[in-house]
Amino acid sequence: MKKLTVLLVALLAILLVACGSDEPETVEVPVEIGGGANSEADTAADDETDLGVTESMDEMPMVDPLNVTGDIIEAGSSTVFPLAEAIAERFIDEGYSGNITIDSIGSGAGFSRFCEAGETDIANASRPIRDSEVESCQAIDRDPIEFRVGTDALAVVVSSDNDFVDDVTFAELQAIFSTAENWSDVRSEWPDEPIQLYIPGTDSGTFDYFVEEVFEEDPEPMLSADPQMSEDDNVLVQGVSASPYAIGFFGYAYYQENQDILQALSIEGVEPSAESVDNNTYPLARPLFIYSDCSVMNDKPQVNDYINYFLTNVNEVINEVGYFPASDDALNQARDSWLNCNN
Amino acid sequence: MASEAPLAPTTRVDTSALDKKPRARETIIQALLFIAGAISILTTVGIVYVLVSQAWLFFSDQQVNIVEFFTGTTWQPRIGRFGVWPLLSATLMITTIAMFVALPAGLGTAIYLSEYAAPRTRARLKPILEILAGIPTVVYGFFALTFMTPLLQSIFGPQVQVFNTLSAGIVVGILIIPMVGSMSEDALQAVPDSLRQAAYGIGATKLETSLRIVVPAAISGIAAAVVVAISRAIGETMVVTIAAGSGPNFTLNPFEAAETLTGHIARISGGDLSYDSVDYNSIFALGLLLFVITLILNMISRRIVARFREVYE
Amino acid sequence: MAQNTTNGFPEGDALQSQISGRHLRGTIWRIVFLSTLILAIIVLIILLVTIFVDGFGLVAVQNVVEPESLVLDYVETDMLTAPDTIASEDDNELVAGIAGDPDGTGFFGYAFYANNSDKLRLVSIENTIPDDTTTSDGSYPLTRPLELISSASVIAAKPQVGQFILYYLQHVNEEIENIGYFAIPDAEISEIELAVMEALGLDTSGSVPMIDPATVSGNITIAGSSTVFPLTERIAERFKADGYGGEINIESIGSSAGIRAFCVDGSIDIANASRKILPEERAACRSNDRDPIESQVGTDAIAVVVNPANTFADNLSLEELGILFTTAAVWSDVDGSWPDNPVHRYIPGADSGTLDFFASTAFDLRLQDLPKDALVAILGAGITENVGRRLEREQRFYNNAVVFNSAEEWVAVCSSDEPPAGCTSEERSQNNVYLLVQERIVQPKILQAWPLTESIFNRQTIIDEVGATYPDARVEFRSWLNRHFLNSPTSSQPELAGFRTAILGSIFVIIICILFALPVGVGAAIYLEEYASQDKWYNRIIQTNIYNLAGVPSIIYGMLGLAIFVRALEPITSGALFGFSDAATANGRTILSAGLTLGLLILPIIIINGQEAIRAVPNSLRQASYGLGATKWDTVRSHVLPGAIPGILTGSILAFSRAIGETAPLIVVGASTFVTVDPTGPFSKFTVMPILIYNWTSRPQKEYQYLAAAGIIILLVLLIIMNSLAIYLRNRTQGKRA
Repeated sequence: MKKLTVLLVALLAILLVACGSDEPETVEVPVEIGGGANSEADTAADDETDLGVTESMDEMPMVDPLNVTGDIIEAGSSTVFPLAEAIAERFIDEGYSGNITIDSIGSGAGFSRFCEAGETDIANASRPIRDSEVESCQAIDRDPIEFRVGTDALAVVVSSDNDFVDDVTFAELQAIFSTAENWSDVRSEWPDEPIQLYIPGTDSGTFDYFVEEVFEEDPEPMLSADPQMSEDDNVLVQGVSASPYAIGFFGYAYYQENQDILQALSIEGVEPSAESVDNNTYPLARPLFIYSDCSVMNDKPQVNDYINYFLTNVNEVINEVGYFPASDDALNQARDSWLNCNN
Repeated sequence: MASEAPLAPTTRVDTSALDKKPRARETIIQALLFIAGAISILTTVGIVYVLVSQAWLFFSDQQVNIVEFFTGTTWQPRIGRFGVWPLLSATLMITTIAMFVALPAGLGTAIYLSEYAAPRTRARLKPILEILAGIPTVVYGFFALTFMTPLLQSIFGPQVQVFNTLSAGIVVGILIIPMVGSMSEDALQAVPDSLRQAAYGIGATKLETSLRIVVPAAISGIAAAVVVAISRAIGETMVVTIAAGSGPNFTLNPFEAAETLTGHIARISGGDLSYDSVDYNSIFALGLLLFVITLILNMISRRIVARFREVYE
Repeated sequence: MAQNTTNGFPEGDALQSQISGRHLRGTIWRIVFLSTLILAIIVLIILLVTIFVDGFGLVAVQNVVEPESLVLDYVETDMLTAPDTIASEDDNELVAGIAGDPDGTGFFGYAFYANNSDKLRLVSIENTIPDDTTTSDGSYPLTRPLELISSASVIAAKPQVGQFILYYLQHVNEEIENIGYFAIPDAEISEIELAVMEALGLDTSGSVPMIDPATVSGNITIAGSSTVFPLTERIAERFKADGYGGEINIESIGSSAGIRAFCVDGSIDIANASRKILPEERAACRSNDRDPIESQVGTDAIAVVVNPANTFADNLSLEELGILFTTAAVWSDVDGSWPDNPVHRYIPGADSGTLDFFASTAFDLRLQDLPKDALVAILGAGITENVGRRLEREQRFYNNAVVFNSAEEWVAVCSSDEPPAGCTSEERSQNNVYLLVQERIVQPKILQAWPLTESIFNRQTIIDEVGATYPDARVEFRSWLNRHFLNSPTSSQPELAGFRTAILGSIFVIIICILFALPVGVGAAIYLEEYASQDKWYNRIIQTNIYNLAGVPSIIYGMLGLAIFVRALEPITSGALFGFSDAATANGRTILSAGLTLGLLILPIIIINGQEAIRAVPNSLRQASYGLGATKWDTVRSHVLPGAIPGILTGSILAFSRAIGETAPLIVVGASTFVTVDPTGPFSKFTVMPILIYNWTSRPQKEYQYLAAAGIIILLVLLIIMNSLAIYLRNRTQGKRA
């Protein structure tokens, strides 16, 4: 008996030592998962092949979500929402044990919660912050920092039942979304049916962007056309897909998610796609941001880690979500901003 | 209080103990209960204060003109248009459609249950109506979007938009049937049986008795039920938010999408605008309007019921 | 009124007709009233059925990675990495190896054995050796059919295809042995010929005419299995030699590719296959108007061989076969009576279809049967390191070894103040790891879903449609309401979304609501009924006020809650005052705010209901109590309340069941869109059942509609239970009172 016990103990000891001496290997299981061919690397260094090596990327310290605790409060753009949700789900999956809440309420509302009420740690936005919003932030001792996280190709969509339109010019876009009552008012060969408009609400960065690009910052013509509005892009999808005479616009991800019931129009002959976004030919390509503040990042290290994780992993999820990666320069700038806060 | 008369000439009951502690305790308890009752006052005060103060900020903003508020037909805060009629017209349309559904069904149900049904049948059927009353409004909203709208589209064709007021109105009506039915039935039941017997005595049929004797006798209770139902329809939020539409639209076409007062408040406050902006304060002005309308309707219905009570007591 | 009147009243016939007319009207109206009631009931039934029907139905599911391929990979890796194993794509190399090695063993297509039978010894499997009989009746396990696949539509358009197939069948048995495969009995060939003729709609009464290739014209395109290739090539050569003037194009691209080219692309006329066509492929073919006709032309067998010097191994069971080619180090590992010589294996290489076939046939393994170590390996290959470490820390994989964490890390984290559960938990069972692999590697994805009615009545149409649009998907029945749904948080993927966070949120909110509304409401009711004298002006105001509050729309309460609880009382409701959260980003949108808002909402109802219950207690009870010298509070506490409690309880349950279903005020107060962590206390962010349902309803993907239906079912069940409880209580107390 004693001999057996000694043998067993020795065996166990060997096993444990074997565990300790190198990356654990008591079974024929390749344990160095990080080095495996299939693993999605979570070190910034391994992103080299995707994005091109730059110094700042190498210096982003690795975040271990297992060690991150404490809550994170994020709110803002409904366009950025699917991207933020995907990153947050990954963050949680990889071990984050705190509580993260993300509200999809529109870029404007997101800035107001961040800058006026100080209720959130991160503001998601599909448009840059305005000066007035920066002032409000400073009034509560917050200095907003911009992190570019991706690019959206704003999709102008119609139902897949719509068989008469697949390409519009800027002028026609203006007419459709403001003064034209029937489709035939824009092009005579189109049907003589009333145009049903579905647009993001006035709190939405998407709304602001569209007004800026198509209506030169004057929201009145579009709003006077009595459109259906919602901050919730899913409601817009429901509306547009249900009628061949409906038209709307929202972030590309919502189009990609619903490609079976929607079609995206070409603008001035250019289709929204990775190439046309990359080479700047799609006229409605716009940046996606998250904003935070150094003091928040310092007071709540989990926010700091989360932003790091976001910037490091965003390009692995962004295509699946339905958006397009920001340029390397823009991403590097974001990383530099983060590093500045951390020095 | 207990009298202090002694039971016998030589015995005296010492009742001094009754005077102090219990009375203090009684007063404290009475005070606590009064506070409980007063909390309801605080609620009303709170509602009025919040609505009025924010609405005041709204109306005192230079973009807003109170005349435009009550007469304008465009509601687009972003471009400074604050006419309440698109929202009000949608509310009224939905209420009207709902009444067309709820009143005949509710009254018919009430008359049948009260005048025709055997007590056992009534006992079995009433709970079914109560189930209808207990279904959450979000479920009705789901029903409107996924069943009623496609049904209307198959009947009326593609002119029916995916969000429309007809579908929402019909479903709000269905939602209200139990309320109308139950309150009307109570009113009909409260009519003394002697009236019915007298009618039968002179040879009236059941129909004639019900329609010409009982219903008129209960008319104030029924009228109260109708007014309460209207108030409920005006205040309904979830069905219209899900199924009626999400943009103010001044139209009388029930196949089009339009947003009601309640739907607009829900949509905007869900988004939570910047505090102290005109948009944010506007929802309180709308809330105040809603509150005042439903308050007046409810007070009317209570007046009617009070009058009704007097007649039979 | 009738004509013959004496005192103004109708008489005789006129009287009769008037009376019957009135009765008729009465009946008609009675039917009208009854039908309104029935209409209401029908609407209720339709409502419940619509929801129920959306909660169950068929779904088209596609795995991101098929479990069969995982098993195959595992088995093949096992085989290829076994010690002393040589792999080669060139079967001749294998023959040479075994022939020269007394300890050698291996397998390949029978043709290679047949051509080298002097250098090799055949081993019987399950006491059977491959020959015409055992390969056609299936008693030799390692057989596969050699097939031609075409369709009536193709043959109608190109008669030369049908003629070629018939010629093939008529002459294949003359050639097949030469190639090295096994013939199907002649009788069966004739049957297959007849079946082909029938499928083409030709006359089968006489005998089948011999095809004369000289009379055949037009080109034929064939592609598919590399195993069938040499046979088809030989027959095609003969066809040409016998006078065929057209072109026959044959490509060797694999059975699956061949079937796809035939069915989906429509680019070939005949597919060669070394297996039977799968149901999904059949459906895809049918939907492209190429209803497949399979004609088996022969059988292939895998021969397992040893060196002639090996005299002991003459039979293997399937199990022993598996051991021989994976774990056996010496021959006695396979069968104890065999010698201790080492085993030297010579097998086809990783790219070989023969290896795939052997691996899938010789090993009867499903993914759930794989050993735990293998499953852990599969899991590890497909997830990130961080996820692996988290999974391990939640529950460890092995009691005495770490897989994803490093040893130092594990020791450090387990000896910290709050060690994770995995440090001391039971190790994950094989089934547990299997489920993880299912969820994360296999990843079944729902491509499309249908409601119950369509699933029952249009089942075949759905299956065909799925076969055409998603050839790799399978159709299965799914209940959206299942244990996973109850136990998981919401997610952006419909397959994984669940209701748990919302259920817990609702429970927490209702508890707070009850704790606030019940004492205050009953207290106010007691005050108004027992203590308040109606002639005091403030009491009348309170009473009126309560009735008015009961009629205020619920969204107004939401606005009140937003302004007071969320904003004004933020330090309290966010928990900052009590140190529960960071003052910088404290936010009053918590369970506490939600509960208080709902409490205010139902307070008037509870008060009114309480008043009625108290009023119903007979006054004689009170008078008797006073008569004995009790104070007012004593009377209330010991006589009035007990008598009123059943009524109060009934009404309160109904009020709370209404509160559970309230959505609008909580939207305003701010239930969050994306919350995956369960609420832990009154200061947590939250989402509640009706809001999650609302959220799902507004998503356009139909899968979310079915999820919403499942959520509604849960909500309704909860409400029915509560309402039944209330009605039961009411009936009991009414019984008592009477």
